[in-house]
Amino acid sequence: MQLEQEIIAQEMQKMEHEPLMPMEKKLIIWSLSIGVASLVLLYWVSATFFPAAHGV
Amino acid sequence: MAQKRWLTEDKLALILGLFLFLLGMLNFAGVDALGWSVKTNVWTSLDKILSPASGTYKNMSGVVSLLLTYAFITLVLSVGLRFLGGDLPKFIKSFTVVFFISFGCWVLGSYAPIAATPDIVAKFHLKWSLGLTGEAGFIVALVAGIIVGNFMPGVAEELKEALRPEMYIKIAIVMLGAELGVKAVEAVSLASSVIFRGLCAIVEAYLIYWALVYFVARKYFKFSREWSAPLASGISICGVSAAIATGAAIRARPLVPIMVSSLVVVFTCIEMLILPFAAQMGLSGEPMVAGAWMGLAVKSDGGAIASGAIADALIRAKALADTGVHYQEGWVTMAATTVKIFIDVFIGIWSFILAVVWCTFIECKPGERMKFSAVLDRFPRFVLGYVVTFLIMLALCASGPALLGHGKATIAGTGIFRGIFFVLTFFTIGVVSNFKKLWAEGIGKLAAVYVVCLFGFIIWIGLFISWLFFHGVKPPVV
Repeated sequence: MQLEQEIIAQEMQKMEHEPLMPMEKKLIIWSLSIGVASLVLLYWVSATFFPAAHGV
Repeated sequence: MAQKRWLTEDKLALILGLFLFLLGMLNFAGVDALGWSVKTNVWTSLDKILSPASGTYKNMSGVVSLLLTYAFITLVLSVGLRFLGGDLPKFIKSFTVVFFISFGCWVLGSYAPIAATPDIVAKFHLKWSLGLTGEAGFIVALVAGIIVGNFMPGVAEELKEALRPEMYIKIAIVMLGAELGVKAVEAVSLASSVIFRGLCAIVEAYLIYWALVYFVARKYFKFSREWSAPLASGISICGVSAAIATGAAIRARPLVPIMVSSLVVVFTCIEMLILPFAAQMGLSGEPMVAGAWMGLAVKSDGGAIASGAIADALIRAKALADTGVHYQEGWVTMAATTVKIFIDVFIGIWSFILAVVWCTFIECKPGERMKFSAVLDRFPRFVLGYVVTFLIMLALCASGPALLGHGKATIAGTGIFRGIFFVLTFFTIGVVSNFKKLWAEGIGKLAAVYVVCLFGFIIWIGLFISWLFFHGVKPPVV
């Protein structure tokens, strides 16, 4: 436990700043864009083909 | 270099879960092979606490039934642990303590003033009860585990060999598939709706959660890529297994996912103590939303499904007390389980995508290439057990009322063991949650990202997605 704490403290201290690369920005933007777009599509599909079933 | 074992805890859980399921299935051949297992009743008098699960064994005393159940589970797990390479004498010793403490918590939680729901309060000559159902024992077990883990470190260390919450919950999930298969027969359109909507919910969660957490960790907390990717997977997707899979995919040092995982366990425990009660307060009118929310918001398989089980009990009790509506047990848990199962299935795929992106565009090192076989390697095997038991029971029980009767008898037996593995999960999760880690030097920055992301947007986006896909979907009424 003590060793683990020391290691993580050292790791946090020596971590260097790495600016966001253009590819990382693309990954984030594409992921969010596909997420939001598919939200609309999947909602429509689920509401159309799997209507809310209120038990039996 | 140590040789990699073929048998992992995940595969062992699949085998043990299927073994118990097959024993239960003997009901279809007229053999009640699990009816002797111990059932915990809601009680006010000590002699009523325990009884055998089935009327076939009505002459057996509850204590004998308990001892048989303990001996059987210990034997089955010990055989498994033997092949897993565990320390058997130590396991048996530790497991005995874990079993009886966990079971004691379940018994305590089944005390009528705590557990009796409004429809049975009069039966116990009570004027009032907390109405938490027998599942209150799960919460008692979690709290007991937290106390042992944080205030009795020596005891926790002694119990280490039996502290396997992920294995216990995976065994339970394999059997849960059978239970849900039987329930689904009586509400096929509801079950298919839950499965499809669960799939939609996790697609959303992956795409939105991961990107946001990664962005926050990189931009505002200045974490390196090596730390941010496992951290994003751990916080946003499925805790420990996602952090480890992502760490491997981007070739992070082993230290990174291990540190992230230790944090995940602690926060899972905090979520388990808060979210089911929040769901009971705010979502008793939308039980399935609550179930999906537990699956999306609480990390780790054990944590999410256990939270689903608590939310199931709490919400059914509240709905019964407030509106007189008696929802069928298990559907909220099913929503949580379905969402979590899909999340587990997608971990391998997401890791593959990240590996391709990292290797091709971000940190391309010669000779390093992610193979698609790695996706299959990471596929959680217990998920197969859940799907197989679900489909078998669905197919059999849909064939006619007689087989449905056998199916119900089967899950009555496996349900006892599922409950016991649930309570073992709760207790052991509590024990392994070491809150002191949050005060350790250096971990503050990691914990800060976790707190900001989890409470800042993961819980709320998860709630929104759950509401979007599950609102209006109601469990059958008893």
